[in-house]
Amino acid sequence: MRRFLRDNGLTIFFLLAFLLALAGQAVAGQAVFNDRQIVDGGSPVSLAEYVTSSDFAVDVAENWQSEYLQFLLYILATVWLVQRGSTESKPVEKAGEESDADQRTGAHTVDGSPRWARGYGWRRTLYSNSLGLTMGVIFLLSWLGQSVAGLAAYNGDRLSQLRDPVDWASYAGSAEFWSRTLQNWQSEMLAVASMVALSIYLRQRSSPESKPVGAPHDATGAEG
Amino acid sequence: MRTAPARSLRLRSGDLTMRVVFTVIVAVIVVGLVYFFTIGLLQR
Repeated sequence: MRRFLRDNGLTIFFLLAFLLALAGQAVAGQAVFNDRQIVDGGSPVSLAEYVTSSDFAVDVAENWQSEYLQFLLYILATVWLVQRGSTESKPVEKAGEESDADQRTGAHTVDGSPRWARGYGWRRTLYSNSLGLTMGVIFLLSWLGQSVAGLAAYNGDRLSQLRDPVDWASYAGSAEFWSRTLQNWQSEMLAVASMVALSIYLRQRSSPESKPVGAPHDATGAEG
Repeated sequence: MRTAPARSLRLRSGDLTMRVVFTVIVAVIVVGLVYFFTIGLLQR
């Protein structure tokens, strides 16, 4: 058990932090929701009712989609774009698609290489892009989920105001949907740009997200 | 001859724990996505 925790501590830590934050979001969100209900003359809802409401679902989904978009863009942009001196970038001369030798595919596999990295054809192409594809699918499904849950929440508000509900296409083009979407995207993009640029000159000892403390500022793609 | 099987056993054990956390993360993501659509579609 101790070995399991040590070997997988990074995933377990973030998974627990996710669950705690989600629980906190549910409790705080319920308080805000009930406060608004009282002001609007409605009746308060229980925690169970709140976490199964479209209001909570859309709040969770809009943050999910932006995080997966962030990683999707990060994974893809770092194939072709580099930042000299950043630990988040690969070396400047390696920008773009790399050779089979660099990627240890085809004839250049090593002991322990995944089976689908060994062959040629669609399996290798699919496996070679599986991380980006998976993050992209999760982003698109989360974004679509945001639009579906957001539509339900938006129409709930409209009906309580005696206004006509809107259809999905109208909601997907609405200021409400894009305000929710873009307020998340802007912060993700700034955070990524900060991480790329700040890692040129700043260090975090022993973190693989930083270069070694004594590494030169122009060392690119180094991990500490 | 005795050390090789023991080492391969440890490697398999390591693979298993990594598969467990991989599967848990995939499950959390799938549950979340199903949740978004279920809530959204049920409350239309």
